Amino acid sequence: MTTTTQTKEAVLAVPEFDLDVSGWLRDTVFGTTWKTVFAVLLIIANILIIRSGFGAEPVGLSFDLAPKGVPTAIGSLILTLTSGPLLTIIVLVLWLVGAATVIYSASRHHWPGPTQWLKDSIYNGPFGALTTLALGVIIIFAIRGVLSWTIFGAEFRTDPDSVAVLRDTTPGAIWGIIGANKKLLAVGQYPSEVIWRIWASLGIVLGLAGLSVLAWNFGSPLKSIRKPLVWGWVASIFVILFLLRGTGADTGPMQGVSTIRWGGFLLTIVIAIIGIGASFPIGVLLALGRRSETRGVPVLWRWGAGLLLIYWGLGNWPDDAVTLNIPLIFHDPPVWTVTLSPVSYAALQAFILVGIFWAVGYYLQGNMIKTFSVVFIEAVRGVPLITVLFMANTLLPLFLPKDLDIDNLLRVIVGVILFSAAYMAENVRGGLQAIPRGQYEAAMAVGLSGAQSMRLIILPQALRLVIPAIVGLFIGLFKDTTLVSIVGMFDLLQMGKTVVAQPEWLGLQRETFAFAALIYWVFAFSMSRASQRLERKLGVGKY
Amino acid sequence: MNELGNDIIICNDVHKWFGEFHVLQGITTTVKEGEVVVIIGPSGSGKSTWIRTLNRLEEHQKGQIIVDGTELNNDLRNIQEIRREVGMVFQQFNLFPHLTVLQNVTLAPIHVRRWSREKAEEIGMQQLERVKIPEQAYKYPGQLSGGQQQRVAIARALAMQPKIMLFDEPTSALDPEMIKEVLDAMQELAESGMTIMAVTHEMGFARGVANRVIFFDQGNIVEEKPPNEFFDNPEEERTKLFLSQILH
Repeated sequence: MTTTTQTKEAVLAVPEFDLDVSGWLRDTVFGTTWKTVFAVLLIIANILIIRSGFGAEPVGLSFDLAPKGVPTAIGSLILTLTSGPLLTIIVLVLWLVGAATVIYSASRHHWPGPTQWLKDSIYNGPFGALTTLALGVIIIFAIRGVLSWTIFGAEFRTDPDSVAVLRDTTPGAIWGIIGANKKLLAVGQYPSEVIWRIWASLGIVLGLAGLSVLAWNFGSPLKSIRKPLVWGWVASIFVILFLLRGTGADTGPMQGVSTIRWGGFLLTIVIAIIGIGASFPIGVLLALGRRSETRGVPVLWRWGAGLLLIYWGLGNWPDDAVTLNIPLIFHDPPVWTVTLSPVSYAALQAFILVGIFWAVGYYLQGNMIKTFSVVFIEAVRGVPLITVLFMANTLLPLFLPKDLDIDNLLRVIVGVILFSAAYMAENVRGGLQAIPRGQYEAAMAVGLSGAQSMRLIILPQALRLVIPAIVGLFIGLFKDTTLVSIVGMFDLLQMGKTVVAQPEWLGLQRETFAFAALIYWVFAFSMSRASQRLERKLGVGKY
Repeated sequence: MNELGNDIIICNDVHKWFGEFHVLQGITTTVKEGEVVVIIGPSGSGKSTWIRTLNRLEEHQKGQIIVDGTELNNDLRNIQEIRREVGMVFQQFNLFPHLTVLQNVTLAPIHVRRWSREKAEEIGMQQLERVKIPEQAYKYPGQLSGGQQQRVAIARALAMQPKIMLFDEPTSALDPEMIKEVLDAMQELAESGMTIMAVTHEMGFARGVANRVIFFDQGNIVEEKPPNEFFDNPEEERTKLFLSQILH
């Protein structure tokens, strides 16, 4: 009984203030010469930063907040709240309060509430505390600067006449360029009278998305609509493309809208979604193809021989002696001239052609699926997307019949799909390789066919492993759609450039590109977050 | 001991090579319906390879294997037919980690036997009860102990209602305290009249449950006998040597 009372008293008694400041400074700031130098530099940096915080110019105010240079009530309030000295003092006071709390808690050896966190993450020694102070001031003023440019000093009028008058006196952004050109940036030259079709498409997407969120986040009652929803998504692609494209009619609600008139964000999102959607299954097939062990295609050298015979049969048998000029480097003159009789030239042709086919056949042992996948993947991965787009845009028409006019957008999308599928294939292959052999054996042993074991056992596990890589690829693809501007498509970025070139909005690049960057960021970031959610969801109960 | 029926597995001069290495060197034997055969032998002797040729996880290159009246050859339909009738349990369990225990057990009945989900789940639960883990049905394999996982693997094989069960060192990857629960499940299975071929080092199981013990070395059967005779009265020198090494 007595011991308990004693312990209680010991706990309740406030300990002496025993913070050993000199010892603490000796251990940290004056521990080594370098630490001292670093601390001094940090203090100087802090003094400079705080000084410039105190001396910061007041934020610029737009015409509405300060007509004729005199701030309105709201303008004055903004000026007061964002004044340099006030913000700096707020940061300093907060910092000092935090420091005092930590010191007080340290003196009592008692860490209530978030003080432990404060000590561990912000005030963990003099360097941390000083860095926090400097960063605190910098961050506050960075936010102030962004707000000042985007809101306080920004002009939101969209009519060119007002903007022309106010432009020179406005300290911030002129958002009118976005507002006045919102249709161009959103959908390009899409005819205004049928823009409802885009709204309808958006409605379909949002409706499906809403249902999907419900079906996948709430249990049993809605589980049954998951399968129809998947098909709904697949069908929606075609419905939406039809809605956007219209029929062949020249007028009326379903008038045809040539893809040349699609532009802006609409074009970006169409290319990205079709590119992502189509390259995924193609990539999976290519990955499976690359790992395929199918045999049974005849030995390839015979194909080479057959081709050669056809070539000769078409009248290409060499009739005259052929002179070859073989370039040499260490030879003077740097050319080696050989004259071959017709028969030996034919033998050379046979040697090369049959040899190539034999080598390919020997290497791949007659596996045509694998050959195709390997050649495709390596060929596409070896060139930049720009090249693929140029190929699709300028070279492809040369190979196709003249009267066959393939839509420009379709060509670009096909290029994007092929490009992305090759990368996808390698990502998926990485996942496939991570699946242990025992999984294949167990699937075979219970009697599943090859296709069933792939679909039910291997791919679900392999794809789950490569979700981060695949989403990374999709985000990259989404941003790479900006390259289509090089082959004459007006995507969001290119549309921004066009908008800036209008005489009444000339020179407003910052506003336009900041807006475009924001849009790209919002979508890329959403994809990244969605993938993290998906990973967490699929990882449940697995390991 | 069970009544033995007709020949259900026939191996006739089975050979297999891994490159230059002659793994299986002309195995000839038959297993009858309801028989429990235990295969023992030193590691690397080819006993696992042999048992894996019986459902074509390994291909044999010469000789004849007939399982349940169907010959194993390159015909994919024969292979599929045999795999439906032959269950297999692996050393490393090889459960499907992305599926729940019940889904593991019902997957093949639904997709290979084409049973309805209800029927597959009913039979799957029966098999899970048989190996005494029905309460784990909705967990994932990663949440179970090794012994429980191996019993799920047995239930998964049994759910296809096979005629033959192959066990490839089913207790070798288990902690000692979990071996018994798996052996109990195997013994129950043997007593129910299932044809069993098991590669194992559990001599107690071999002596107590098997109808016949096969000693396997250097790619072939050295000696095969009922367990009592085999352990008490081995004929071959190699068998004697092996038994002296493992039975201290």
